[in-house]
Amino acid sequence: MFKEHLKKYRFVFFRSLLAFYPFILMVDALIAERNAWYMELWCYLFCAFIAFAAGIGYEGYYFNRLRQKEYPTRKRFRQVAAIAAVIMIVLLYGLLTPVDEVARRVYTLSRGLVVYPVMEAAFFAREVEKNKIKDILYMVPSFIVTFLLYFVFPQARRIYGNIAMLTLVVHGIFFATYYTDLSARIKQTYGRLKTRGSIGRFLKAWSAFVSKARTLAGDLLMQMRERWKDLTYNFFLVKGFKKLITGIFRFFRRDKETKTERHSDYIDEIDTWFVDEDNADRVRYTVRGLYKIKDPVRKVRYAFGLVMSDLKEKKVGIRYFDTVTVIGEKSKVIKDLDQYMDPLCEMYEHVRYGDRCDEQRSEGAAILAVSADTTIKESYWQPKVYANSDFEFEGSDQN
Amino acid sequence: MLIVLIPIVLLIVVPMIFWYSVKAINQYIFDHVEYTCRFVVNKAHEGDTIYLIEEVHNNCFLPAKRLMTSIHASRWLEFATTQSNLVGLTRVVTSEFSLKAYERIKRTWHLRCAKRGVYEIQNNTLTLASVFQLSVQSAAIPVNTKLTVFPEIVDMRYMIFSGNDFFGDTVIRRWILDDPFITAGAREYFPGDPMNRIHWSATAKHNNIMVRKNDYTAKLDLFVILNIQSVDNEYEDVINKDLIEYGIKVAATVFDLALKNGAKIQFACNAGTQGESTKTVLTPSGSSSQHVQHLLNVLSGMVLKNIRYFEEFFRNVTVDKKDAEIILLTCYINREMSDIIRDLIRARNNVKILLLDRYAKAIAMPEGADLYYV
Repeated sequence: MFKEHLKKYRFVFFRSLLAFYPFILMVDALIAERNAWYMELWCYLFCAFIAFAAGIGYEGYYFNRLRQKEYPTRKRFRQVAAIAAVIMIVLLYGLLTPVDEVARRVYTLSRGLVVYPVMEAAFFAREVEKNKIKDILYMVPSFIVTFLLYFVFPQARRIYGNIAMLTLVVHGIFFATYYTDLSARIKQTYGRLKTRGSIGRFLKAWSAFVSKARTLAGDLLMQMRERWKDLTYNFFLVKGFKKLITGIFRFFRRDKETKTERHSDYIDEIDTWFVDEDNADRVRYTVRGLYKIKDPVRKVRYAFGLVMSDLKEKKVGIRYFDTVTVIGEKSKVIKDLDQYMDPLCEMYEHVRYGDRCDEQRSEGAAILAVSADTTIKESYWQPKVYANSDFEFEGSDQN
Repeated sequence: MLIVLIPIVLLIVVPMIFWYSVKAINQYIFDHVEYTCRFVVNKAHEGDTIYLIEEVHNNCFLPAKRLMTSIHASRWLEFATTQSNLVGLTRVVTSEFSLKAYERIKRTWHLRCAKRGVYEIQNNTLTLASVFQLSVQSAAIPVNTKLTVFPEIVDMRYMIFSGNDFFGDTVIRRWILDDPFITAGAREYFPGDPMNRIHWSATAKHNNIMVRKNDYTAKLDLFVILNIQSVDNEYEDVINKDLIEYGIKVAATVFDLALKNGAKIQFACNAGTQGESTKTVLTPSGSSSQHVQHLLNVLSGMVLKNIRYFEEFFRNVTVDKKDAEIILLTCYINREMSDIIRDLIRARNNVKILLLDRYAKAIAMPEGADLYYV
């Protein structure tokens, strides 16, 4: 009975639990006789927003799929959403934690092996050194609740996200209870947020923190820029990364054979397939690349190659053995292209068979190629080659 | 002040960063998705079940969890009946995929060809929705797959005629060599006649040696003419489409019989085809399987629209016709048509009229023409 009830109303139930948390914070702050509670409140509201968005998003997705009765239900969107919410919470909490507590926080985080202990540790980061045993004791009930919901209740994996919400609430209650009982510690912990003194003093304290954060963020951005440059310009590194990721996927993938799923209207054959990167060393033709080339002969060749790659993308049907004249004829299917193609083909023929070209002509070829590139990309042309057919309606054999 | 500002900034900036990141990731995944769609065969008959194959490959290390494709096909290609929408003559089928990294799904749809025609799927819409629908990428993917559905072959064996009715030899007056399989009667024996030609029962009857007399025959060309008009006064679109569709099926059956009997066949119709909707159909005569396939293609692509008034068309296509087997498929017969048929019979043609409307009256039927209600 309870299981069914929980199954039916779980979303409402867990969300209503969440709604109590800000009141607990308010009561906590009132008891502690301080007015710095809204920092926690904002933090909470933001985390709740993320959690709600994740939950609602997934819920809609999940029910939509249930309605259509077409999709396997064992998906892990909710888990992803929950983990994302938890990570956001941890990050935000970390952001609001003073710099001198970073070492302790890192120590606590390293204790956690899964997401929930990490969140737990983050909540109790401040007191972790003094109250290690107490912290672990506080961890236990949340573990039990998580374990029960995850393994005992049917289809509990699908309410994984709600477990995250529930744990958030449970932790909030623990947190409030813990600090409400020990008012001295609350004063000690929240001392820096007190606004009893002048607002200027408070802002000063914060401005130091903000300036430090800004310096750190600047350094981080600079480092990121450097890394991005490395990634962009070092082609081998990108290739290496790609190979590494592909390799990891190849190694860990579960279903190495084709899996067949039968539905009422269709049959799905699912497999994992990695495209061979044999042609990864192929020259990529871009307008930017064209302007970088200084050698006139190479420039004309590259300009022609650029147009050819565009025509290939449009599926004009140019084959590798086609001569320049044939290419010129075939390219006429694209409207207004011949005005650029004719002089470009002529220039290319000079280079192709004579291997000579002056700088002025190569510049002209580049301009023509760029115009042709724009024309091809803007044109609308549908290939008349059918994917499944060698069939020609009009040209059938007539005896 | 800062205490209030920081959370507000966080509430605006962080979701925005999140949103743009999701959009960028979604675009990246979308660029790496490859999609193809094709019919397994390019020719089928009405009523056949064939397959339509969709192949999606996520060539990327990120998952494409909500990928949707919209297939715009004809409503006469019946598939995905539980999840398709009919919009006029178009069937829109939304097909959803959930792909992990580097995963490939080959989806095979069971498809029933409900009606003859030439069907094309030109573009399918590919849509990728991100997590929580924060970003949706969409593009029309050229598919260009084509299917020709030939008309159904109806069973007419027990209804009207056997194969010989159309494709047997016909007796003619003058020829060089006689046909040893056709016996016209018996004549008196002349010296030089072979012994195995003696008709013994006739010899006994006449008390004279009699031999078999053979007749002269010739194989006729078949000329099928289809009248696209379902009623006499029909100026453009066909009124009774079912009758004409049935006529097309009968024509296909005749072509099929002709192919099996090795007869030469020619086809004419006062309607156009999908490729050339302003020209009437008049094919050359031929007996090869390619020729019959071409005729079936013509029937598949036939547009139910009258281009030329039938009587005029009928007269023009048969003006020089001699020694032919003419099969006229029509829903009605009027006096003008009867006159043309009479002229054709005079020009030593065999004319067979297959009347598609069971309740139609044949007015002023000329002597010598065979009439069948199909």
